[in-house]
Amino acid sequence: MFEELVGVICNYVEVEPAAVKPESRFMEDLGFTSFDFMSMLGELEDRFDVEVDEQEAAQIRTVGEAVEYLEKLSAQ
Amino acid sequence: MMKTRKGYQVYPLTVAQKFHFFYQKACPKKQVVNVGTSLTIEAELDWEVLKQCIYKAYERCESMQLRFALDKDGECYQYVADKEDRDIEFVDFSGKTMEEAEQVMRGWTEVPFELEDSPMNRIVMIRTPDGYNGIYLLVDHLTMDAQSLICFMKDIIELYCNTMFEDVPYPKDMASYLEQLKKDLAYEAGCKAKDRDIEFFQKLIESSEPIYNGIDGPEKLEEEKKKTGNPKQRAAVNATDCVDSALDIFHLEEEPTKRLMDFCEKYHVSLVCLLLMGLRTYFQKMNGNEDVSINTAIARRATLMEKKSGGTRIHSFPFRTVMPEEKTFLEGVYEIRDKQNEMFRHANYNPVSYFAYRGKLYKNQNGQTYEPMSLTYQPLTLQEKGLDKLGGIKYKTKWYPNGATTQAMYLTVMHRPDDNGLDFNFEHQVKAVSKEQLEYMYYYLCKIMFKGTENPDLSIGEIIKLI
Repeated sequence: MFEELVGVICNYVEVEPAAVKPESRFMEDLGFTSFDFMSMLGELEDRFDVEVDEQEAAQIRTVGEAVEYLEKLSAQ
Repeated sequence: MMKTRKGYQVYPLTVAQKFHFFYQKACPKKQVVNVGTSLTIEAELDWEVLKQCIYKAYERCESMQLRFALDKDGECYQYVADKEDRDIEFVDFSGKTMEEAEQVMRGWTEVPFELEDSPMNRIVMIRTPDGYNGIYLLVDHLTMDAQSLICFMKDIIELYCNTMFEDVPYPKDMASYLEQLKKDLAYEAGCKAKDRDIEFFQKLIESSEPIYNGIDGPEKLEEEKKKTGNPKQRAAVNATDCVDSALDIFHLEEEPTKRLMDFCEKYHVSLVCLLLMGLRTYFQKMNGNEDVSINTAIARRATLMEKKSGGTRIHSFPFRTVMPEEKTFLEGVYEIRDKQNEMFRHANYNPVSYFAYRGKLYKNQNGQTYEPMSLTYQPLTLQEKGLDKLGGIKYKTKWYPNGATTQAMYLTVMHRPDDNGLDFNFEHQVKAVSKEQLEYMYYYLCKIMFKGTENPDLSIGEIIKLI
């Protein structure tokens, strides 16, 4: 899940895959805007066949938290 | 239906382009879609190298090579022409005053482009009276928006720095405009995502009728009630039929800007949420309505392809909030963030369809609206990449008004590169809104934002009383 998410992240911001760590923060470290993040959620929904709740997603700060959230949704 | 033009394959306009195309058609001043800007630095430039870099940047950017053509029914099509070598002018403003130089560039910005089969941009290398050197760039909004224009300028800088300095890498390729265009047109032709977007916005519109709020208070709506003879009238005519415009800029200094940015970082919200909260609270204060709508622009550039393919992508939608006075400032900011996030996910929806659907549902007459103004926040600056390679050299960017607007009031907030402050650029119809009205609004907007960021648990009602 982590590697796949890193691949998606690199389509949105100019960052080397190796530089993306679980503790990387989307906004502060990776340079995501809220629009980037919300657009990426749409792609993740299709890719992982899950339905994301915007308010829950707004609480996600780091890549690790996103992986955790996606894993939780996939398990449901 | 046109298929090719001058041997090039043609494509229909996107929804974002049609928006500009139609309002230009309706506007007596055709320069209404011109976007003019300049970037100058406090350093000597090698003009020949710069000229070659501009040619190279032009070649790397398909949307700078866009041309348009009309078919026999007046339908507009676009195509990407081969690179052509146009001479890049050089204008030396030395010996003139800054005001005189800016007046000349404003004049350039007021000249509309020929629509059919001709270049839709103009680049001039300039030396300004303050000793700065750089470029003036004019584009037609059908081909570029502010973000793609900044991206193009960054490319010129990076190419120049790569030529002039050994340790500066060659910039990565721009993305293909045509590839992105095909994606956008495929969405518009119909897909599940489009159906979801239509459903979202139609539900939103149907939820209830918004209400117009005036910059000075409810007088305009009251006049509209009298004019229509409808005491329940909720929409009013906001713009005038005179499109002559002025641009008034208010500067927020570095320190107070930092306080606003610190608040955004602390509470994990973007500056646009704070600006929307400030503006809507201002209208709530002036009109006594907890229901406030403002148009907001969405840049629609998330993927690297969208960010680097140029073109014009902005979609503007009304952003409506209904907030009772008991709600705290912070709760309001979070509500805006959540609503905006929701809207972001459906931002490909056609804004023209939005207004058509709403107008029909609530039986609006021509020119009647619920939104007194539009807001754009421009987070991109040239500071992030490129100019840092020149090593602490001071630079200036300036946007020039084109002299016409179909909207009563349009606020663009952008970061000022020279001191990290914020510029509040109010473009407005001179007959619809005066500078004094804007000064008053800006003053209270700042008071609301600072009171709220210093005391986020204060309620909206308390803030309105305190300021």
